[in-house]
This record gives sequence, C-alpha cells and structure tokens, in this order.
Amino acid sequence: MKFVDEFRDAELGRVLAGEIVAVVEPGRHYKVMEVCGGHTHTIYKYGVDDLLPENVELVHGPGCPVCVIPMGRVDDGIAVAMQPDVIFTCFGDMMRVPGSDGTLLDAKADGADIRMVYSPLDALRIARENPDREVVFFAVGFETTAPSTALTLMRAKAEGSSNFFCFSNHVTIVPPLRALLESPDLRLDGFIGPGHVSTVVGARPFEFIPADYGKPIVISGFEPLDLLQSVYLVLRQLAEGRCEVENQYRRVVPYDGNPSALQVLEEVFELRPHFEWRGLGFISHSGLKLSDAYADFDAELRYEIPGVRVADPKACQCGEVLKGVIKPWECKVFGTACTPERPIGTCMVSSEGACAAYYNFGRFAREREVV
Amino acid sequence: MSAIGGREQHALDMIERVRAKPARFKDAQITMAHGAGGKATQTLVEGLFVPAFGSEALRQLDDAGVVGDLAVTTDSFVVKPIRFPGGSIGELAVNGTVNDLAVSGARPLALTLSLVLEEGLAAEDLRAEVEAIALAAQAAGVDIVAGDTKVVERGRCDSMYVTTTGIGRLDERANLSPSSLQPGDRILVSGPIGEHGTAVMLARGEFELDAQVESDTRPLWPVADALLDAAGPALRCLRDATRGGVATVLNELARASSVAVLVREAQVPVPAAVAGACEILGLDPMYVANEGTLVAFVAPDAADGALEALRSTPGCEEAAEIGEVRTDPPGMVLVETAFGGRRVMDLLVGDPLPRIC
Amino acid sequence: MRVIEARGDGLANCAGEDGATTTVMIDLVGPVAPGDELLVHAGTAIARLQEAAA
Repeated sequence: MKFVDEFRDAELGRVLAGEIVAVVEPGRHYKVMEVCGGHTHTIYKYGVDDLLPENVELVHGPGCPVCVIPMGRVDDGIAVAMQPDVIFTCFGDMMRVPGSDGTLLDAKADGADIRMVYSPLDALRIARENPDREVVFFAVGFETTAPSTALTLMRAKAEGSSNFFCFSNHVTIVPPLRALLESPDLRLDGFIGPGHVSTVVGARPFEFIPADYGKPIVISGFEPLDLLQSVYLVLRQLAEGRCEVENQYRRVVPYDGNPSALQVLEEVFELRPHFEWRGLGFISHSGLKLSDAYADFDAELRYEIPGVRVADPKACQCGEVLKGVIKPWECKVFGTACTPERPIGTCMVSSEGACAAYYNFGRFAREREVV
Repeated sequence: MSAIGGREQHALDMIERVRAKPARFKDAQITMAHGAGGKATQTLVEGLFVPAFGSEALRQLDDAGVVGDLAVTTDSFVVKPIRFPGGSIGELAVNGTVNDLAVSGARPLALTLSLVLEEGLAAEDLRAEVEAIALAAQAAGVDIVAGDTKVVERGRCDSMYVTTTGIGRLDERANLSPSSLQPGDRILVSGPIGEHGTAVMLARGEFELDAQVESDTRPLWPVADALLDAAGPALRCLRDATRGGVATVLNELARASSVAVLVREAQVPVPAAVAGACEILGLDPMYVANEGTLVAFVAPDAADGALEALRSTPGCEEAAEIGEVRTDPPGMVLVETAFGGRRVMDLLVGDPLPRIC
Repeated sequence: MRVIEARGDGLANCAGEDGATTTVMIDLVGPVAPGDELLVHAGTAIARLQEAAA
C-alpha cells in the first residue's frame, strides 16, 4: 500500500484536467488563490498549472510562513543570534530571508552560531547537549508548525530546561485571509484552503469566506491530484452558483480539526494584539506570543530586542500582487530594487513566490503562450 | 493569445539585459552561498577570478585547464564529518580530482597532495585517511608525486582539509566542449543521483533522521573511457555532477551552448532512500551533490550505444537516459514532471536549504 | 510517515515512504501502534491518515 503514489497518477491528472475544461466558461477569466505555501510548492514541483486551461489562473497566496516575516523581525532575530553565548536555531529556509541589513546566513558569516534544524525538538536536543550555552529557537509557521513548537516548550518545561528559549513568530491563517477579502479591489474568484493548517484548526474557521464574502473555498490535500481536484471543485461551485466550504482533504482533515493540538496552542501561546506581515502591513490578532505560563522561555523577554520596525519600501506592492490586482511586472520595484538575489517583498523572497517565479520563468511562460 | 503589453515587455527586456550581463561580484563578504555552486559561486568565478587571471584555459570554465596535450585541475576538500557512509575525505580528494580530469577527456596520470591538519588530530585518523588516499589512488591508476603538510591551531579547521592537484593526458578520441551541445542530443547519467550529498548530510547527525544511503564516491575514468570508446566524437560533453547536483550541470551547459534542456523526471534514477530523506528535508535530489556520477551529452545516433556501454561498465548498471537537448528557450532547463506538467529548473541562488513550508 | 515503534514519553520512531527514519512527537494523535500512518509536520504528528477510498 502506498499512500502517496496513487495521488500522483498522471493518467487521472489528464482526466481531471479535462473535467476542468468542461466546467469553465470559455470567455471568462478565473483567478483562484492557493493560500498555502505547501500548495504553491506542489504546483511548482509537478507543473500542475501547466495542466490548467489558459483562462484559469492560480494566484499564490500569503501562506509561506518564512516569506511573511517582516524585516524588523529578522533584524531582531539576528540581534539575538549575535549574543555571545547564544546558539541560534531556525528552519533552513528562514536563513535566506532578508532583514534590513542582510540575512541570517550573513549573520552566520559574521560569526553568529546559527544552526539549521528540522524540528523544534532538534533545537531542544542541542540545548540539552550544550548546557553552558543558551539555545534560541526562532519559531515560524502557521497553526501547522505551532503545535510542534508548543509541544517542545511543554517538554522543555517538564524537564526543567533553563537554557532553551523560543522567539515566536508564529502566525494564524484566518486574519490575513480576512484582510485580503476586506480589500475592495480584490480580484479573486475562490480559494484553495490550506490542508495541513486545517488538520489542526479544522474546516469550520473558513466558513466566513463563503458566508461573509461570497467566495467558495475548498480545503485541499498536497498531492498534485488533490490540487487539480480542488481547482475543479472551486470551479464547479462557481459554475453551479454555489458558494461553500468543501473539504477535498477529508482523509486527513476533520471538520473540527485536532482538539488536542488546539488545546496545546491555547496553553502555550496567546494572541498578540497585532503582528506585522511582510508586504501586508499590520494585521490584528494574527500573531502568537508565548503565554504567561511560558514567559521563562520567551526569548523576547530574555534578550534585549531592538524591536525596531523596518518599513517595507513604499514602492513594494506585494499586497496588490497577492490580491491579484496587479501582475508582478507591474510592481514599481520589480526587477530593479527587488530581485531574487536581493528580494524586498514576500513574493520575491521565496523562489516560488509570484514575483520570483515570474522573474525567473516569465520568458518561458511567454514562449508557452506563443506556442 | 494575449499579446504582451509594452510595460510587461519592458520588464522582460530588463530581466534579459540583467541576465546577459557578465556576472559581477558585489557582495561585501563571503557567505556559505559562494561555495555552494549556484548563482553566488558563479558571480565569484565569472566576476572576480576569470577577469583577474584571464587565461584562455580559465575562460573556458571547464573542469580542467588544458596545457598542450595535458589537462590540469585542482580541488580542495572540506567535509564534515571526515568519514561518512560509503567513503571519507581522503578517498573523496583522490576521486574528485581524477574525475575532473576524466570528464575533461583526460586519462589521469598523477596527483599532488596538500594537507592542512588541525592541531590535536588523532594519529589514527590521519593514518586512516592516508591509507584511504593510497587505496583510492591505486584504484584510479594514479601516482601521488608531490605533497605538502601544514598544521593549524586547534579550532582553525575541521580535523583536516585536503587539496589535490591532478594532471592527465588528453585522450585522442575526445573532442569535448560545454558549448558544443546541439538540439537533439541525448542526456545520460551514469548512475543513481543524490547519494553523496544525502549521505554526508545525514552523517552530520544534525537532524533526527536516519536513512540507508552511502556516498557514490568512485573514479570515473573507466566510465569516460567506455563512453569515448562507444561514441568517440559523437560524445559532446561530460560533466561530473558534484556540488549543485545534476540540475546545476544542466543549467551551466544550457547557458554555455545557448540551448534548452528537457529533463524527463520519471526517467531520472533516484534511489528510494535518497528520495525519502530529501522529501522529509524538503530538498530536491536534482540539486544534491554526487561524487561518482557523470552527466553525458551524446549526439542522437550514438546515444543508444553510449547508454549500453555505460550499463556494461561496473558500477553504472543503473545508468539512464534522462532527457534531450532542444532549441527553445535557450539557456533554460525544463522538467517534464512525472505528473505530466512542465516546470523550469533554475540554478540555485545559494546552498540548498531544507524548507518547512 | 509510518510508525515503527512507539517509544513511550510521547515519542515514536517513524519511517518515511522510502525507509528514512526519524523521531516524531505523537502527543496530538493519541496512542499509536507500529504500522499506523501519520501526517508529520516539523517533527510532530498532527493527524492520522485514513487510507483513501479508491
């Protein structure tokens, strides 16, 4: 039995692609946002968008957790990492996200002891192995990753660890979606909902999208066939004039999520009044900090943190790109001040962000249209 | 189809101008990315070294430089830990250098060996590496003809750094050039990919992750020899897919020959354990280093014979044809995914970093 | 990932589809037995996988 291969079947993919063609109106242009960075990755890795008709466009959403960390927070992280006794740990892809004066990789080159981990548990192990050092875990991620941080902190507390600290940049998925939907110039027809986040929070928190904003959303799995099927389900809702939360990823996502996970989040974290997102500005109740019960582990209390807000350059238009209002090449800084080597906004930070993808592959997309 | 508006065309033209410009080295300091074999390495080599030294041999950006009928190459080896499943730094230092000669179409003749040792290195560790070097040199058919040793204070290097310089005689059958690729050429790999990088990464023990993967380190002259025998002048180019993996080789050659490269993902041999470890860590095996696997570009008529010759070479039983050279779009590598879609496979900006999202 | 062995203390050794093994926190999915399939994110099992209907 293989859980994965059967969902990557190319034959079924072609069948689904055919059904998508059958359900769209030829003259209409559809924009569907996949919210989750993991979905963007699957789409890119398997070339899923290549199988869609020309008039169905996938818009990459704000769900890449490392890409949305603003410059000021990266600067704060670097300030902690530069403390003499600190071993600073983070996920690999966080290391390339730019602050106002370089990345964590640059800080490592400057002598900071920065180590890549695959799970927060690895960071706690490093703390155990280095009792005379202080180990800081730079936590990023949505409700998918936050439970792992929470469980690790609970373990640290249980074993009486005194040299393990967490710098929380965890964020929640619903507030940025609401912020996008609130904007009057939104040009999206529907959403592909985040499967892994939903295993934790469930499908219920997304009910406001059809109820308050009249847009369909389909919670999707992460195999290419899952995504094709979810695109089809969004388009079918549009064709049939329906608008609801559908759960394509029912094999994993219970409608009410994972109650144990929600409970550990409740215990370890509390909502910040507001949190800044790269390219999207401040969003209320969108960030998680450590709760009072875990204050002893809070790196933001342990270290002096500059906490200086570094404004996104005014010309950066990631927000508009995310809303589908403008194309990457219409942004004022695209290709000049903002390039994959020196990115400014979230859409250029990740190689799969809309702007980076266009910068690298736009020429290819053009050839495809000509062919 | 939708015509491209003036403003979009302007943006695309600007990107093209930036791409076409010679790489410039503008960074304030060296980061790990400059050693990773991707774009940052390219700016260092093309923006600093080549303009400074400017020799014709260097300008070719081949794996080895040519002096008369000899090929010369040099390589430094820094690997942590120095021993890993399937090999060690000493074996790597011999194979890495003889392989740069082999893929340049030169039969390896001799090596020099330069050691930088860390104060406190255990004698038995040094002895083990010296033995590994001797065995690897014997297996590759080269003599070690000169050497040097330096010791640095504890903490100034990781156990030991090894530099080898190799000299080889250019083979008469070889007419290899990275700029000689023609549309229609077939692309072969000599064996399964991604083993060395995965084995070393796991051996570092930084991740709570375990998998049965061994480095593929081995000398490649017998492989190059078999290909030259089978394909002769129809063999356009060979590359050792080390740092940056197969993806980096394909990108470099697509650029050097101004052709497109199409890879059929389903035909790329990736060992199950490598695929599994890479999937968990969020890495693409196409970018992971190999130390005994080459990529061969062969004119279409000779491709089947070349593949057969590869497969009958010991250690290359799993050699495969993974794609072909196309005309458009020049300088780009396209992947036909196992799922039936297509995507672009670009050079990495820096080190391949495990992803979380 | 598939559970190989529950170690107690909320941890389990798990294997990916191709045999790579790692340590996973299983506090959120309740007791597991060898052979159970889990959805693992950043070292934590966040859900159990049901075999999909064909």
